Formats: sequence, structure tokens, C-alpha cells
Amino acid sequence: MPRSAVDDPSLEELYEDAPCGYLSMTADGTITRANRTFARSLGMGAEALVGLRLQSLMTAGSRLYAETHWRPRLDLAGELREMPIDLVRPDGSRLPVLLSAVQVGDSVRASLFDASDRRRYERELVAARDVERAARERVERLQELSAALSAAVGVDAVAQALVDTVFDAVAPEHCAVVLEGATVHERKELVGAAGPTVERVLALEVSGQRIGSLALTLLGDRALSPEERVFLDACAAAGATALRRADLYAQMQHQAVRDPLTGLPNWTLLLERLEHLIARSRRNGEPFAVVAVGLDNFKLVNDTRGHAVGNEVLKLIAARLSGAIRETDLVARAGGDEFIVVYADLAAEEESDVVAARLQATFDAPLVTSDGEIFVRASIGVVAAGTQVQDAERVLGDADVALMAAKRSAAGRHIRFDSTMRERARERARVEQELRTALVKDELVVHYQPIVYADDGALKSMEALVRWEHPVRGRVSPGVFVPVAEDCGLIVDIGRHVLRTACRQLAAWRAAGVVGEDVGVTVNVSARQLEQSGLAADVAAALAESGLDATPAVLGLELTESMLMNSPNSALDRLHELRALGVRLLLDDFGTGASSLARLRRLPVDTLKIDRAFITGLGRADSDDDAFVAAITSLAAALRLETVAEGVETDQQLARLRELGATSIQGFLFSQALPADEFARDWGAARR
Amino acid sequence: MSASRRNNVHITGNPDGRPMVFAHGFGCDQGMWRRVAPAFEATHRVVLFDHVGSGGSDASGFSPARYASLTAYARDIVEFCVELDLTDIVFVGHSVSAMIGVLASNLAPERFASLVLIGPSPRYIDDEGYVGGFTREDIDGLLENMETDYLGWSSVMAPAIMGRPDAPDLGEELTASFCRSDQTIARHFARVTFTSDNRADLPRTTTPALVLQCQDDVIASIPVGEYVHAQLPDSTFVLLDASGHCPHLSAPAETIDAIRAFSPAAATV
Repeated sequence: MPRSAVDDPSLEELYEDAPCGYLSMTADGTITRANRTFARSLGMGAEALVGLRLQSLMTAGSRLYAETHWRPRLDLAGELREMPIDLVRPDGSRLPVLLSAVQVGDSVRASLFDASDRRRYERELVAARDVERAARERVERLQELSAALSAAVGVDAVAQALVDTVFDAVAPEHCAVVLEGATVHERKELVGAAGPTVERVLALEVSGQRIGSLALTLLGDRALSPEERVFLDACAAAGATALRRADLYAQMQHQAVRDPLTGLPNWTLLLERLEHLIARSRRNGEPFAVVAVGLDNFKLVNDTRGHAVGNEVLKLIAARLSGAIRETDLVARAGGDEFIVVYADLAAEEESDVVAARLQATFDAPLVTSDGEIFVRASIGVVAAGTQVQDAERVLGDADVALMAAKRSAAGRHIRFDSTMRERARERARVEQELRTALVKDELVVHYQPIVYADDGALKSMEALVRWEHPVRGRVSPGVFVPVAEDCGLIVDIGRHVLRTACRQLAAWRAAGVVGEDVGVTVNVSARQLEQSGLAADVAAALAESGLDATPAVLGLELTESMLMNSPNSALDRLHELRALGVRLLLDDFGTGASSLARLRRLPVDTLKIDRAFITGLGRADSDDDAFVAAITSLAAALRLETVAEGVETDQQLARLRELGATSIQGFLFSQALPADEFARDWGAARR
Repeated sequence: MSASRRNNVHITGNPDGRPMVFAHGFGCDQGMWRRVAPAFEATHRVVLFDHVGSGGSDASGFSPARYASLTAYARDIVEFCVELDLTDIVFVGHSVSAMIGVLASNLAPERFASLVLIGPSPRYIDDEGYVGGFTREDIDGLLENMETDYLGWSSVMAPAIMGRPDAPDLGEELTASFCRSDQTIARHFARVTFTSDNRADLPRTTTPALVLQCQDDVIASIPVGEYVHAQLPDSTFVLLDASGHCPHLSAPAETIDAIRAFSPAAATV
């Protein structure tokens, strides 16, 4: 009795009409049996399938997939699970299926499920995922590029980051960042390419200006995708900006530690390097030397040849000093006309003298400037530093102290620092400090020494001389504080103070009838004052303030011979300005400087003060002072100048001076310098 | 990371023997040599490895750009050969690795004694005057199959309901790990493999080569094998009785014999 196919299907029916396709195949895929479900899904008869290879029913893509994936897998693992493949019906339409299979002996049993709907969803899913992934990857790559470039410090590092990024992005054979024709960074594959290659050069541009190029070498058959090209353009653009920024930053940093004129390290960098050197010296015990080089006549060069030539001189000297050192040494510009040379690793402290002498020798030859040859002299202060040195500032301070000592001594030699120098320098610093206080507290008082007519001894004028009444130390010698004041510039303030005090005093004495209308006062002017453009204004103000401006000739200004002889033409101009105010000009210490007569003629002075050195031996047989004084007085007479003999102490000297024709006399023979009240008492009109 | 670690290099066999480097094809890993490689262990130093993205390789250094061409895969081989100081190498490459071997020997000819090329094809897509066997659309179909396969819901759920009578003696672990690959990289590798054109590299190869061609290979047809043989300056062509694309799996004995019989001048393989 036949069983109902619906209620009680046979195994045969279960096989044939199962809800999926069943196949039996040989190992190479030849179909030996197929169920009806499978045949129906392909629109074929089951018998027609037998003898065909399953691969022949697949699309070419699936065939590739089957051969490369599931066949080896089935062969080795003995089973396959849900491999997606596409079959092709006789009418050309496609049937996506999932293939599962097991190997049983020499045959393969497979089940195939229709995956049409599922494949469509999968395609949509994959497409959506790809869009999302592409967008995310694009953003991530740009972020990575930006992060890599901004993390890099310095042009080299930025170039490297750029090259590395390009390597990761498009894997070229070779990639280089070229700036101004020079390769800054490059990278190439470890194993070189065997086949042909192509070059691609991307311009690195910032604001339309080309700063270099990003050069790539790619394999000849390597086609760049549109995304890769876009990314490379982004690399070039961002890279160019980052390189430019790094370059500017480096320049800024360079400028921050370099002297812009000479390109030498500045004080900041000098300190930094010196600290390193000190630390190293402490470790390895090797001494080093710090040499301060100060130009002696640089101001004169500036004044006579102009600042442009002055700058040229500084550059030439910078180059010369740089040429005289080893690579491990250092030349820095310490400001103005001072350079610091640091010698690392000396064999012994004594070697510092050798290197200083070598530096000195670099000044032997003239500098060739656009304004002709210029000889520049230098003073050199040396510190031989051993392991005991603690800090850079201190060493540099010591070098400066030695330099100042060298400057005060004859130029053209170097002076090595010793600790007593520091003591003296400290003393000077103390004096300077106290001197500033003294000015404010009116401790600087003016004394007056009379100058009398040679013939009758009547008061002609008086020289105002500054004295320091120190509250603790008592009277401080001008020999102590004037040089300090000269060095630190306080002499200008002191000079102004003396000038005003003297003018006021004279006016007061004149008003009180202590002195006659024809009696004058003379005030010393220092070289520093003469350099100040405001000197004439100061003098005019002092005259106006005291009311002496109606009779300016009662004020005399004393200038030393050496000051005028060494000074440039600007000093001469200043003398004419003073002259124009109507004041008298006296040439102090005359005879001690090697005056050129030609220059003397051009100086607008009225009086020569004969230096005390020529007075001492007057009238003595063993001295030629008589001859000198005679020469000076006759010269003065010829030029219609008055003369004042300084330092006259004896009647014998006075008698001789009268004979030789000196017009006025100053000295202890008549009086020393006196405080104002004593002067008024001793020399006032009452006495006469 | 060392190149040998990156490529999961395993060395067995005779330490004094000539190195024999086996390179697996696309879709597989070094496990596919298990029926052939052991036969050479007595005489050769057997070197097995996985391409980056396949098997146990380390794919951390992978980028689509870096592996944009087969040359990158060839470089990897040269790099671990240099690292392991392998010279006088007999290179056995299957499918795409046959061409990768050609590229590697062009990069470092001094290291390679001979090339055994199983089912080589220098170009899969048809070109004017050249039949590779596939069209661009075919390749896209493959990529789509791979893509959906790699969505990841295929193999995991099947085992419980899958009958395996007469299963080969494979541990579960091995089955699970067999031919695993990084999906993204495998897809990339497929694209690079099937869209590359390395015909121009063949005439540059100075290393003696053996072309092993199967019957009825739908991936690399006989005319393609003959083309490779014709273009290589120094090659031997052997047509196997085996059919399909994987004679080292389907006909290991014949494959082993053919490799043994190949004896280029003065070389004892």
C-alpha cells in the first residue's frame, strides 16, 4: 500500500524535496547526484546536472574563490561551512548560495541554501560599512598627519614626520623633502626595486610661494588612487606649512641667542654654553679660559668713520676672532665693543696666556673696510678657570674686571685676572655706589684755588675743584674718586654740579662785593662731558641760572691737552659751541701731551696752563724746564694766548716765571684750594 | 619586529641542507604544504612562512599602501632570507606566490638557486593579445564573495549540525585555525593578486625555474603556464597529470617527484 507522500514521506522524498539543495560530488567537483530542490532552483533537470562540475555552474569570481579557498580547505580540513558562492542558471541569471560540505571518503556531500535575500542585505551592509570606513579612515589619516607634523620640533624632524607619513600612506620606493635644493630628509625601501620606477614631485608651497619639494619615487606599475593623490596633496600642503613654521621658529630661536650684527652667540647663549663648560670642567678636571676682548678705539672709529663702518669693523673682528679659535671654543659678542672668547679644555691654566697672546695678535693687521684700512687696538682680560669655578656670571665678571684693568694699563697687552683684582674692582664698585649717594647728599663740595696776576699778585680768577667730604672716611682724595667717576660716567653729573656751584658762588661773591667784576672762575671739563652733546646747554643753563650770562667771559672751562688732541672733530665743534657762549677756554696740563702745533692753532682756546711738571725745576741749573717754559710763553705770546703756571711753590719759581713772561700764577706759594668761606675770608675784597 | 617573526617563519628539516622556501598561495597559509614539505626534510632545510595577513603572520606593519603591489610581499621574503642568512635557496611558490618568487629573485638574484612555480600566472585579467582567463567583473565577483564570507557569520554556527563521517584526522584546534586570515588584508591581497600584471618581470629573471602546470586548472590555464615558460629565460615546463589548481594537495606524490626531478645545472635539489 503506497504511503501518502504528504503525511508520511519516504526518505527519498525527504531528500529530493528538502528545503535546501543536496549534492554529491567527486573530489574534483564532478556532480554524481543532485536533489530536485537544487535542480529546480537552477531551472534544470537533476539528470542534466550529473557529470557537470560544480565549478562550471559558478560565476568566474566564485570559481576563483572556490579554487583558492574552499577547495584547499575542504581538502585539508575535510569540511566547509557556509561559503558564499554565486551560481549561474542556464538563462544567465544568478543564484547566490551558501555552500556547506563534508568530505566522505573520495566523495563530497554538500548542502546549498538559497542566499538571495541575505546576499542583498549583505551587499547593502557592506556598502554602508565601506562608505563609513572610507570617511573615517580619511579623517583619521588627516588627523595622524596633523598630529605627526605638529609633534615634530625643528625642520629636520618635521621633514622626517612628513616623509614617514608619506611612506605609510603610499609606500613609495623613495621619498625626500628637498628645501632650497638640499635634501633635508629622505627614506627609501630597504630592498631596492628591480623594475622601472617613476618620479613624482609635489611642490611645497606656502601662500603661493614655493619653499621646496616633496619628491617620491614609485614603482612603475604603482597607480595612485584618487584618495591617495588627495592625501598626498594634503601632505604637501600641511607639510609645507609645518616646515615653514619650524623654519621660522628656528630662525626666531637663532635670533634670540645670536647677535644680529655679527651672528655670534649673544650673552644668553654664552651663559648657557659656559654653564655647560663649567659643569664639564668640574667632571673632567680640565681648565678653561674666558677672555674678554674690548676694543680700545672703537668709539673713535664710530665717530670719525660713521656707524656703518663701525658695524663693518665689528663684523670683521667677529670673523677674525672666530677664525682664531678651535671648533670646541666659542666667541660671543658681549655687547658694544666687547667680545668674549671661551677656550675649552686647556692643558693647564698657564695656557690661557698663550691663547690670549694669540688673540692679541689677530689685531696686528689692519682691518680692510669699505672706508679703507683701519687699525683697531684691543685690551684683553683673561680668566684662567679651574675646577673651582662655580658659576658663569662670576667668571664673566672676573674677565670683565681683568679687561678693565687692561684698559687702564697701556693698551695692546692682556692682563690675567687675579683675586686681588676682584677686591679692587669691588672697592671701585663701593666707591661708585657711595659717590652716587654723595651727589644726592651734597657731600661733594667745591673748593677754590686762587689764580693771581704774575706781576702784582692780584686775584685774577679761581679754579673750582671738587672735594668729597665723606661722612665716615673724611676727605676722600680726588685721585681716588675721579677715575671711578670717569669710568662709570658719574663724572658728567659731578661736572655739572661743580659748574653750577661755581657759577652760583661767583655770582654771590660778586653781588656781595667779595670779588670784583673782573674776577673769574674756571671749571674742569672731563673727556666724558665733552662727549656729551648737552655740554653747551649745561653751561648756558649754569650761566643763566646764576645771572652770569651777561658776562660769560668770567667763566673759564679747563680742558686737558690730551683730551683735545685725541678727540675727533666733533669735540672741536663742541669747543666752538662753548666759545660761541662767550666763555673762555683753557688748555690744562699744557706740555704733557704731544700737542701738534698745527692742531693747537685751530683750537679756540685763550689760555695755556703750564703743567706743574715744568715748574718744579725752574731756575735750577740741572733742569731744562726754563727752556720749556720759555718756549711755551713765547708760543703763547705769538698766538696771543694767556698763560697760567700751575703748581708754583717758591719765590724763586715765581721770579723766573715773571722773567719768562708767564701772565698768571697758581700754586701753594699763594694758596692751596680753600673752602668757599675761607676763600672769601682770605681772598675777599676786604683783604685787598 | 624581525622579518621572520612578521612572516611566522618555521624552519625544519636538515640544518645542513640547502634551504627550500615554500610560499603559500592566496587564500591559504603555510599549512597547505603539509603533504609536500615533509618529503624534503631529510635533504633540505625546510622554510615555511605566512604572507602578511595570512595564518600566524604579524599584520601590525600592514598598510594597504605598503602592500600595494606584489613587490611588497616579495620584499618580505627577501628580508627574512637576509635576516636568516639564507642563500642558495630553492624557492617553491604556489599560485600568486609563484610570481612573488619571481619578483623576489629579481630583487635578490644572488640568494636564489632555483624557482619552482606551481600554477603561475603573471596576469589574471585578459589583455589585448593575452588570455589571463578572467575579466575585471570576475574579480569584483570574487571580492564580493570574500566580502560577504568575511562578514563573519559563516563558519561559526555550523559545526553542531554538520555531519562529518570519515573526517580526516585533524584536531578541532587545527581545523579552527586552518587558513584563517585577516579579512581586510585578505581582500586587499586578492585585489592586488588578481589585478597585478607582472609579465614584464619574467624576462628579467636569471634564476633557473621549473613551471609545474596542472590539467584543467581554472585559475591558471595551460596556455598561461606555457606563456610563463616562454618568457622566462631559463625554465623547464612540466605538465602534471593532476588536475585543478592545488596539485600539492590533490597530487602530492607527483608534485614531490616533479620537484625532485628538476635539477638545474650543478644544483642538487
